[in-house]
Amino acid sequence: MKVAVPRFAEQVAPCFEYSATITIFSIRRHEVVEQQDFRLQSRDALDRVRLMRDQQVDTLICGGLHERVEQMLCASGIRVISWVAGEVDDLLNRYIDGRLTAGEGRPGGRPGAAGGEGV
Amino acid sequence: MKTGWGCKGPDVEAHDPQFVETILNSIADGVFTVDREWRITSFNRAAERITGISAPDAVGRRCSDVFHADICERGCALRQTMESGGELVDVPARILNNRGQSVPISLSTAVLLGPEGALLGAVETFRDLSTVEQLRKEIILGYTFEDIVGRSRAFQKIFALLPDVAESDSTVLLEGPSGSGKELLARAVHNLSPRRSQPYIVVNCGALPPNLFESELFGYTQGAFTDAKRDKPGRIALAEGGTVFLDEVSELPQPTQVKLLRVLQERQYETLGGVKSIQANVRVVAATNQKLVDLVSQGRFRDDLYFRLAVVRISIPPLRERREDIPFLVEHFVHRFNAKRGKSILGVTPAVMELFMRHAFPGNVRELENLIEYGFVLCHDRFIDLRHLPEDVQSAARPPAAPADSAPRSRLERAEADAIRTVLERTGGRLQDACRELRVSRTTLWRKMRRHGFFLQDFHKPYHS
Repeated sequence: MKVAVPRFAEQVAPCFEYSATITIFSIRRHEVVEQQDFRLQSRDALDRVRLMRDQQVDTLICGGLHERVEQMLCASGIRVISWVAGEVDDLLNRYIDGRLTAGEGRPGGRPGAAGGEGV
Repeated sequence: MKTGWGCKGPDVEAHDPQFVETILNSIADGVFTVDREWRITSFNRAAERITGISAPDAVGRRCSDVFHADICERGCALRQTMESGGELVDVPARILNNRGQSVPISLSTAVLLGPEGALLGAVETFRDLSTVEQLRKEIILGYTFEDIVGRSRAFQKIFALLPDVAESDSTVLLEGPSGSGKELLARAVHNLSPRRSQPYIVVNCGALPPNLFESELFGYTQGAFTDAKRDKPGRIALAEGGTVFLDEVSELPQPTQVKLLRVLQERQYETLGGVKSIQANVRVVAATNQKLVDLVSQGRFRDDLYFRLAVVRISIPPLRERREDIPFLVEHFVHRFNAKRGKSILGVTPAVMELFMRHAFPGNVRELENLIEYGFVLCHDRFIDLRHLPEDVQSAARPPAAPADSAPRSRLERAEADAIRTVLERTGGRLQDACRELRVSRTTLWRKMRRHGFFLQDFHKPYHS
């Protein structure tokens, strides 16, 4: 299973579309067995969607995310856990343990109509 | 914290936190302050409005977790200000609001110093430029994927296709009824493609007389016909390097279909009266409100051209088949007309939304857009109500007359109602076909429809998919 996390140093990046680095983790039997950093120059959101698809990412864990980009990712069969905040390692561990909730980093929680988690 | 607002009023008021808060909340621009750890310490009312985040939810969080801005990683304005001690003015940026929508802003920053000149943090003011951007978009038609509104299954398919369609150079055929948004989608495909900086030329095939079509599309050379005083480039030449959008492509005359086929196959064409073949570097996006495959079977459209056009085929269903998109479209149009008309309408009343959810929308998204625009003209309240809509649409909202026989309906009556509804749906509200299928006269069907509270308009299908 592949999990992508846009990162800003040790933290999850504030916004998927604008992050300069995306790390893709390969997870096997609840452990990270490989990780690869992708440094992105393009700010085209579609380039990022294509990267996720080309790398066969199963799940994206990210901070802010434009609602249409989330729709595109979900339409492509990628599970999205958006609007989380904090350190990448902590988020990843909680994801592996099944304790990561979409929207937990969104100030005031999730508004009903937008974003969150979906596939 | 000394905020340094520069207030020279009576001492008691200048340093009264409530006094400062009142001033901040009266400002139309967003204002917030951060400490040296980038944690938000104050957040005014305009900041709440622009971000969609309340002050209690924002205060105490890192500013990047609230604003999700494009400059957070690559050029944080607050960081620059705190490191240099200088002010930044009118820095353009984009943030994500709490609904995941991109908001363009212009921001300015300054440091906050304590009594001894020690750095306490910084202040940022920001202005929402959504209205300006919306108007700019309307003028230059710079639509992107952000402007495609839809959460229905049909649009999920389109969203899944869009990244690949935009990147490729393939010909795209958009099928859908009039007013469903084919042109907006075509523009978005162009604006997302590598050809985005090159021309985008629209050709409405239905609006051009057949005898002018060839010269308009391919151009002509001097002397090609009596009035051809000099060379004139065609639309294909004008779109060189970019995209040509052929709207209502089903209206193409047969001779022009052959020439267009050559453009698609060999990337070559000749101008009217010209002898030299010209290379064409254009992407073709075509749209039709008819089923081209039906026209092919009727011999009215060349099958080889159809297959060349339909390399990527995208179908946009009529609005009545994706009613779940209506609330999002309403929100989109309210936002757009607020920007265009300088109003602050918040939305539509539940009664209007209920009406929209039941309405047949033969004119599709364009009809919905026109209804909202009509409402904007008449509405001086915060919400568009039924009385702000055209009379014929209002009347559709009134409950149907009670059945003559108000006794509880029998199983037989329910079965009859179900049968009529099914046939009307299948025939798209065509009365003659429904009568034939049900084996009843028109008068009988009318009487039974009235009895069961059915309206023909609810079953009309302008687009036979």
